[in-house]
Amino acid sequence: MKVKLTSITAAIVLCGFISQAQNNKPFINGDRVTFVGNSITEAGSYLSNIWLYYMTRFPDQKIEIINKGIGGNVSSQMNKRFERDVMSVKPTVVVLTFGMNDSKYFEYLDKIPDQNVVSAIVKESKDGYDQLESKFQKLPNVRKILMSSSPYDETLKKDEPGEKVLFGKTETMRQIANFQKQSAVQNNWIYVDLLEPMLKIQQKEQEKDPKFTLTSNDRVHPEEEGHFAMSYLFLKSQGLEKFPVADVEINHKTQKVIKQENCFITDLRSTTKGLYFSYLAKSLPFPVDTNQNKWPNATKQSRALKVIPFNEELNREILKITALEKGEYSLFIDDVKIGQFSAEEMAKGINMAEIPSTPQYHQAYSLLSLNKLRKEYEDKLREYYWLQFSCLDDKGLAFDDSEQTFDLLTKLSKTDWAVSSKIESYNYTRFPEIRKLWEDDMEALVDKIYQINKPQVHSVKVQPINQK
Amino acid sequence: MRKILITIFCLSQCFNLFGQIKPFKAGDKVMFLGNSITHAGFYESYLWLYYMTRFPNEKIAIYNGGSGGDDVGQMNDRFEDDALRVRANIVVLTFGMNDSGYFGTDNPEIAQKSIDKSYNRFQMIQQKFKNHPEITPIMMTSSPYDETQVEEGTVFKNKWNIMDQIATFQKKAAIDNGWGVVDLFKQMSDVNFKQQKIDSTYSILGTGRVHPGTGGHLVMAALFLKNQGLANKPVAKVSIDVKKNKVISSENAKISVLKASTNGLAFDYLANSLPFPIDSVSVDWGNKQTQASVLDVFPFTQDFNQELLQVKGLKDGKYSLKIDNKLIGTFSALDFNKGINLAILGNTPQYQQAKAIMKLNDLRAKHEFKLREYYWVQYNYFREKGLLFDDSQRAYNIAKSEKGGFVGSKMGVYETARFPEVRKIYERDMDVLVSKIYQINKPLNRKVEILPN
Repeated sequence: MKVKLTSITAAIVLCGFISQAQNNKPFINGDRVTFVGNSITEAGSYLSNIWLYYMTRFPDQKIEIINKGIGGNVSSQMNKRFERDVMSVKPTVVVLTFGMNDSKYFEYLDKIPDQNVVSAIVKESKDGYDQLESKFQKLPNVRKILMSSSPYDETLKKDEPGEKVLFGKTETMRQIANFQKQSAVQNNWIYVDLLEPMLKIQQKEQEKDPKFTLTSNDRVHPEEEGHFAMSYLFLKSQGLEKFPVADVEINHKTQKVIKQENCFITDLRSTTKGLYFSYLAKSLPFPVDTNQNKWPNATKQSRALKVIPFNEELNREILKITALEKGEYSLFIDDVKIGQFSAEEMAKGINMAEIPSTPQYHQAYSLLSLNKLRKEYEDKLREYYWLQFSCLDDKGLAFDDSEQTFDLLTKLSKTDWAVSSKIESYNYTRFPEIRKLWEDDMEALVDKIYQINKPQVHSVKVQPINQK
Repeated sequence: MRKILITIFCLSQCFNLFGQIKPFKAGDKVMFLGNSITHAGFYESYLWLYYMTRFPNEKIAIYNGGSGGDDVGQMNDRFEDDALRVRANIVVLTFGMNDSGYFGTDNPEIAQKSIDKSYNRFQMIQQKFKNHPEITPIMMTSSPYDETQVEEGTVFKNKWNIMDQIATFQKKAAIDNGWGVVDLFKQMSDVNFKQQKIDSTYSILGTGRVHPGTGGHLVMAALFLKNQGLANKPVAKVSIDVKKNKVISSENAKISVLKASTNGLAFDYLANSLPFPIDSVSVDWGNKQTQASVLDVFPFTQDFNQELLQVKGLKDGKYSLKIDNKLIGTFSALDFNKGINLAILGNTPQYQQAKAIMKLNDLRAKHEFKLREYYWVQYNYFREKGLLFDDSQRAYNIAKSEKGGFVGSKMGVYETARFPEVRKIYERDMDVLVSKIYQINKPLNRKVEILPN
């Protein structure tokens, strides 16, 4: 018995030492990244945010992020469509995420299922994944990232008497996340955990406000807020804290540039009327979306800033000016007044990325708008693929797209809510010319984005407030 | 008195002769230059859908040239930028709703001022038409302001009369210049007056008195087509006598390989046109009226959507109608003897084909609408700021910071459409959609069977 215990301890220690999942790394120029998942990925906001982050932070490193989410999918269904839907676009990176549907729903309606039931559920998910794992192993040139699911929210307080909360689902999702992590460790792939950190944020916030959630009323699907938290966690796992938008420190008295990280400061001069310099950053700030979005992600992205330190950690465009005389100062960029700050605030450093009136923010905001438009086209295409893989494939009609198939789907849409929600766009996506057109449009938008995402030189002026 | 009446009668007859316009022909590029009613884009889209389905081989282009809030003066201001930009060879000019004003309409002085202003500025655009002989102008009076509908909300009293006077000088200008004219104002008002005697809350516009719903837009399209002499031009009209085993007549369709007896028949049917698919779902923002809802008061089906199949000499009894092996419905020998209008049967393969075209055309119109939002920001916001087609970050910032007016509602489109590449995307989308439409709009040979039950 003693021996046995020791060997187990040794095994654990050994595991901890040598078998570790790889750390996630930033995407690199030319990457084609597919996110393979379920409805949460199909909704797509979190990956669109991640791409926008790269568009603004690494303007010269063109990457592509491709939505490969299909609503309702479990691991075995992702496996079934893997070649046709994912490998067909020749990705360099595959991010695989599942668990929400795999952990099932009905099993929790009456009571917390016992371990046998849970084990069977987890096994079913793992069996599906095992097939994908062996496919992954045969793809040495593709970087593999396993990502745990965003959580089901069991603890959100709602005033909905009679609502059946699926108690126990989180535990099943944890066990699924465990084998995902284990597989990443064994194969030396990357593992990104969303489940635990998101649960932690929720728990912390719900202590203050029991109605807080990173999901939505259905406890399953994140809205913009939750999607933004997912983006944040993913980007953080890539170690992107190390790459500020820009980090500037200038000593007013000595007229010296103390720090110019990821940017160039030139033509620095200082007179009694103020401090002047030219500023060229290598990145743009990330414009957090303050607009209310449409269903299914109805909330505002910017609300997430209250619960995650995104600006502090991942969106730093710092301007720090020390040794200014005491008093208030106006900050001008390209002759537009950006704000008013005290010498103290300037000495501590201000984060320009949080100020939407800077010209660099305006520039970044255009990218946000264009990227949103790109997503509109992509969303329609995902609806098409949903119909193919979730509805027609089982009937042997995938990519048939004949009049008969159209009739069949029209018929199904009368009774099947999911089909009815996707059929409108099928009126045109069923024609290959239109799908090709949407793809061309997305490409043109991405080209435009990478054309106008190059940071410009800005003239910065810091002026004492009492002087004109 | 009698003499006057005869003169009026003659005038109106002559007027019809003068005003009548020809159907569009292959290659025509038609722009509708108008206000928000045109900007909404429905009636132009329905009109085009009619041509797509009725004349599948005559490819035309119809452009939305509407800008919300415009009077004729503003249309004159953008004549070059809009109508000349798309090189339209036919321009349909329609104004009156905004020209007639909204406040003080019951003050005779203000009313007269509105009329005079509209008249004077109308002269300017008339001159432009005369300077551009490559353009065939058509004057179209406005859809009416519904002053008489019993409905909640403010009524602008006397507005209808002001519009009536504007419509009068529009028609006169058309006659004087030998231009075509379509009188929506009178004909739509007449429908309202007639229906409101039965139901005082009725309006051909739906609700809101100003902007027609999609049903009103369908009526507008139909009245335009009527003026083009297209009323009663069937999709197809076939009459067969089974006793004689003979096609008695077939208009706009070809019947072949006929096998007929008094117990039933089978034949090949190739029409030259497709039926016009009616949308019973889509509504405009804020106006719940549907296209389908106007069919009860307006003879659209009767005048514009007849795909008639008449079979004489069948034995009494019930028969199944099948097209391409699909059961369409069950009809009696009597029904067949009277003739069945296939165009209103939503399940025929030709109707399905037409519906696919409708969906593609709707999408085209949606993309065009985005472009119209862009042009609105140019003509109705940036022009007076001296920033027409500037589209710089500075121009964007100015528009974005605007608190009042309508510009805020357009910014969602403008923030991307200000890039020429994005506008090009929309234009390309429209081009590809139109090409696809004219590829799939060719009627197919259908196998029709009528079998005893």
